[in-house]
Amino acid sequence: MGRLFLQIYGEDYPVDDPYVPELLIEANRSGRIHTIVARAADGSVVGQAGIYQSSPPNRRMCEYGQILVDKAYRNTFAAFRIHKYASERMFGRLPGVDALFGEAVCHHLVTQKMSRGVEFYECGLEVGLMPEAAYAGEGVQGRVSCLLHVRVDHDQPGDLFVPECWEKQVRAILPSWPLTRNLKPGAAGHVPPEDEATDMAVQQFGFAGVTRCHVAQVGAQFAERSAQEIREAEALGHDLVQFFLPLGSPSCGFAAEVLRQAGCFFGGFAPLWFGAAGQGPDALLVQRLLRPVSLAVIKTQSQAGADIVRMVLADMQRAGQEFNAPVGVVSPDQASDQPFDQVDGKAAGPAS
Amino acid sequence: MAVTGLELKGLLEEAGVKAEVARAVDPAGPLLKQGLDSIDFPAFCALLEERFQVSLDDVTALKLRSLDDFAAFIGSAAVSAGA
Repeated sequence: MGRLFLQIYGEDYPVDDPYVPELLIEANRSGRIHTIVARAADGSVVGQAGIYQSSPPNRRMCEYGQILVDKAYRNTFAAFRIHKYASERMFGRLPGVDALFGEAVCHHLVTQKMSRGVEFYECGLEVGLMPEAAYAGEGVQGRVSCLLHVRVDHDQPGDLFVPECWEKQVRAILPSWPLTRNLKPGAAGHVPPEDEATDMAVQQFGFAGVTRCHVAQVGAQFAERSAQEIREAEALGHDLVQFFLPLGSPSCGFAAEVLRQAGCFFGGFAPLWFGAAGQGPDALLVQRLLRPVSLAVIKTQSQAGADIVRMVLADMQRAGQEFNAPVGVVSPDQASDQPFDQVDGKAAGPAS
Repeated sequence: MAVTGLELKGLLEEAGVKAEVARAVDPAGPLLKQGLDSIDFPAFCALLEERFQVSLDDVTALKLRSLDDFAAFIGSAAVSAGA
């Protein structure tokens, strides 16, 4: 397995587990990762996929990905067969796993197509999440956006304070799964108590140029704290900052409005992202570009995906026009690839 | 089990091929040159394996280019099974 990761990523894969047999065995034993390995008749490794704990504070929500195939087997159906095995034998059957999510790159459709027919539903667009350099040799121009999609196997009912400023977007995505939620208004004016502190965990992804903030609790000083994180991300030279807000908090609408006025735009609705680790199960993804960036063509394979892309890019333009926030310059190929009316010539530069 | 390329065309959408791509497929032409990609093609092969109870390994599948080729393969597999 280590050799496979070395072949594909060199020594650059950001986690040590796959390179060190003892670590990978222990990670599988503890349930932090479920590795699916395809082997040839002689025992050699053909490829692999993983279901593993990653960013979500909810340890019962895992990411599905790491689909790697040895170069010697590139002209086979190995990746498809590994995925078929995972979807038929593991999705919905793993102990301790309530939900799965994936981040499907949008410069091609292969990854998105793998979510087809296996109950992953599109729920967000992470604009410009990955740098062009990550896809060297694939003819990509600009940062690559990813569709966030989630499969829910075991729901966790709870409160959902629908944020006033992005109510339409949340309500559009919510019916994708049969979730049991107590919907309440998330008013922008619901300021947290003075003595409530903001609880925010920050992850820096230097290679990707992304800062990701998980807000477990919205405190009275949220505006100052979030502004500080945006400044620090800028100082690091990052291109994107993401906030995952707790939709189970009555102050989520307040936090959303603070970020909206800071030039952020809607990113997505992520069910079960916080799970029992938060005030409610779900998260609102809000994002902000830190400088104008070129975006690679954004392709979608489903109507739901196309609707989300349209929704997110429209709100990005709104942030540019309303708050002079940086926006992504969508590839000229976009117009000919898909008819996103909101990018029709209007995304060619930051709003001024 | 006699099946034609035209009849197999009806299974493309079931395998996940976009409707507009599936509708335009010429049963005699190479599938990979008619809009099927690296996910559509194995998904279609897997569906045929299941539907017609045939075993289709990767090397064989990649030699079958058109729907007519697949129909001929299924026909010969049925003859072999019956023999």
